[in-house]
Amino acid sequence: MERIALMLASGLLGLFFLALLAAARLQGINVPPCLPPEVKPFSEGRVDTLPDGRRQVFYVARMWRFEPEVVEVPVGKPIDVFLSAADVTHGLYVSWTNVNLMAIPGAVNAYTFRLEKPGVYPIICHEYCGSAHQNMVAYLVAK
Amino acid sequence: MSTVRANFQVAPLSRVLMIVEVALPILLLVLGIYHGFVQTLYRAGIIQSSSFAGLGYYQGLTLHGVINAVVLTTFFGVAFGNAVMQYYLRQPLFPTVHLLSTGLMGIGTLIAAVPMLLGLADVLYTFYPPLKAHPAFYIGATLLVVGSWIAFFGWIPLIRRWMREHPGQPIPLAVLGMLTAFIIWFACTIPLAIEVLFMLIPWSLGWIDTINIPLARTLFWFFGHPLVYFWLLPTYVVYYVMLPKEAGGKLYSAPAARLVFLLFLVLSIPVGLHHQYTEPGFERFWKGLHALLTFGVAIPSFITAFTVAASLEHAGVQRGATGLFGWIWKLPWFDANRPIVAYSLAGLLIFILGGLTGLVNASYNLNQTIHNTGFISGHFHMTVGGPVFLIILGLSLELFSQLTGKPVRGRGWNIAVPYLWALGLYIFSPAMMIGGLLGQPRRTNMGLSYLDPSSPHFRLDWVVTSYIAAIGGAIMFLAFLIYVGVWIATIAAPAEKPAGLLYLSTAESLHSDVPTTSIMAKLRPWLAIAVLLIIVSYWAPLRQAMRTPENAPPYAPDNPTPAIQVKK
Ligand code: HEM
Ligand SMILES: [Cu+2]
Ligand SMILES: [Cu+2]
Repeated sequence: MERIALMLASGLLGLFFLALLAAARLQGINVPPCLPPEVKPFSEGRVDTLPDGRRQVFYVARMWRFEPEVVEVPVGKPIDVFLSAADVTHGLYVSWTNVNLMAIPGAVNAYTFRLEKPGVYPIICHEYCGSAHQNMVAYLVAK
Repeated sequence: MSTVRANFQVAPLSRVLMIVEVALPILLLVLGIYHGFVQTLYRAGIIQSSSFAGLGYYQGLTLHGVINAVVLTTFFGVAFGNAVMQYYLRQPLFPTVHLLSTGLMGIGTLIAAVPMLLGLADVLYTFYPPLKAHPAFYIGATLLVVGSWIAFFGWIPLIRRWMREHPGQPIPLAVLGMLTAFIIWFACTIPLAIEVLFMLIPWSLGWIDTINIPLARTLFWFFGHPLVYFWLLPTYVVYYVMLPKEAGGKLYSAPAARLVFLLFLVLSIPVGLHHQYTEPGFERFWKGLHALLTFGVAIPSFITAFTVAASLEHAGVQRGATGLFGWIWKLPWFDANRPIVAYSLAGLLIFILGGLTGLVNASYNLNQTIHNTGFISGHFHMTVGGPVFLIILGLSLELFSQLTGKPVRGRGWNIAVPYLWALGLYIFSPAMMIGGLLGQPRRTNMGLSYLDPSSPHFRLDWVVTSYIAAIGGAIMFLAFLIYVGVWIATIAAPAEKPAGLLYLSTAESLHSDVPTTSIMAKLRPWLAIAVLLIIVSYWAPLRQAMRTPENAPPYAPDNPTPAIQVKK
């Protein structure tokens, strides 16, 4: 009895693990990557458009705003986000998406995603960063 | 383990110290739980202010986390450990060791409380740098931990002596459970000590200017996940040892219970990176490995679910149940003289959802949707705020009653507490979790922005769940008030029995226990595997964290300029 239950539980967990590996491999839903240590933190936010039209947003999170605050991005195209923290730890969470990143002083975080629907997406700071943390919001406008 | 055990008379000094260990955290809880309820009001926009009744939101949230999740759990771990060691090993504690341990824990708590109450430590209970608290906050917390270590050190000679005097017997199950809990605690507080002693304290005192933040976070979570097993294991001890007996049956399998504790010893530490999936600086492979091991550490909890259910089924059948599920209704759910049953069963009902949502959090890429949202707080109120908290409440009162000789007053009210709590929690937590899936952040005073209709950031889609969470929170608060009422009635009652007679009900095992020659009666091989796994899983992540290009100076939570001048 105990053995059967044990095997069933382990088997189920194994299955779950395979499912999440499959989601990472096949659907590209993954956790943030590790950038090489040459990538140094930056202290000014900006938006770049690469020659092939790909949009790159460099966010700086600081007490208590994101820079740049409002960014327009194309619908359905890949967008690269880079994130640096200028003072304390912050979070960057694009509402209704899987874009969920920690902004850690000293290191640069990164994520690539697409917005499939046009609209205004609030970006919420979701890590406590001091007394005005609740006011730290930015917006992505997908057109 | 079939001998009927007599009471154990606690020595006078230990008796007083143990009363402090159970009563002090319950007293502090009044503030901790009060602020839990108030938080739901802020988060629903019912309170739209940065502070209420003299406490700031983040100040109160710091107190809520520190009191409920750190002070209460550590004190209870030590108090229950002290009870288990004396009762099952039938030896008194060393008086000086006991005094030193409880004294340090009490003084540490007071030292940390002062800056928190003065608003000089609004850094939440995870105290992530580069937010900086007053040094007394870190120093007090350190003393609390050191005090708990000393209690643990004092048990080791008692266990050794028992083993010498009982050759051929495996150590009592409850002792094994508390021993593994404290080995895990001791091991995982070492990285915490490194973070606090070598990084945070000198940095908060201004002796060093900057520290490596990813390294500090990695050391913190090296500690932070095993911490939850330090919370959980005393509860499992109660589920395995006391619950089956109180429910009228036997423990289904003692060997399975032993295996569970040993698996926790091996797997509970090398998993901390699952709190850092969304952070930069670690190669994905290592996050994935920690995810795999986290799934591994779910296995002992699955075995527990199975063994506890089987034991309860056996108890139900002993009570005359028939059919596949008849045993459920035969259990003494509402027996006012068996409060442990009520506190356990309510906790188990909560843990079903708490455990499953834990698997969601552990799931690597699935974590991308929920990390740092209300989903997380919804989840852990169904674990540490559920079964763990209820066992702590139930047993603290029971121990207090035994230590003072005062019978519990208001027994009917007492067993209403866990069920009312479970009801409130089944409203509060799902609301927090659905809110989280809708994108609500955790650790946020939402009444000042997202839940304020006049704010440009107002989120209509978050209104409903925040209100429901507040309703659940009110019910939980009410349950706790009833519990406090039972305490007051008990304190006011005259003693009816001699004070300090310890009695822990102990279930026999249905299947025979392991022989001492079995690997499951040994600790060393398991410890060796644990150390190996820790090295394999943490070597590379720690090196990767150490490569961070820049360090950070300290910041006060209300000021965007650094608290010191950094020399460039
Ligand atoms: C009336 C009962 C309670 C209510 C209504 C309540 C409510 C809450 C709420 C709303 C939060 C989230 C605040 C935020 O993230 O902005 C929270 C956080 C928390 N609660 Fe509770 N809680 C209660 C009891 C407990 C208990 C019994 C425990 C543990 C034993 C506990 C442990 C925690 C912890 C560790 C946090 C996280 C703090 C942080 O993120 O820094 N709570 N609680
Ligand atoms: Cu923030
Ligand atoms: Cu964890």
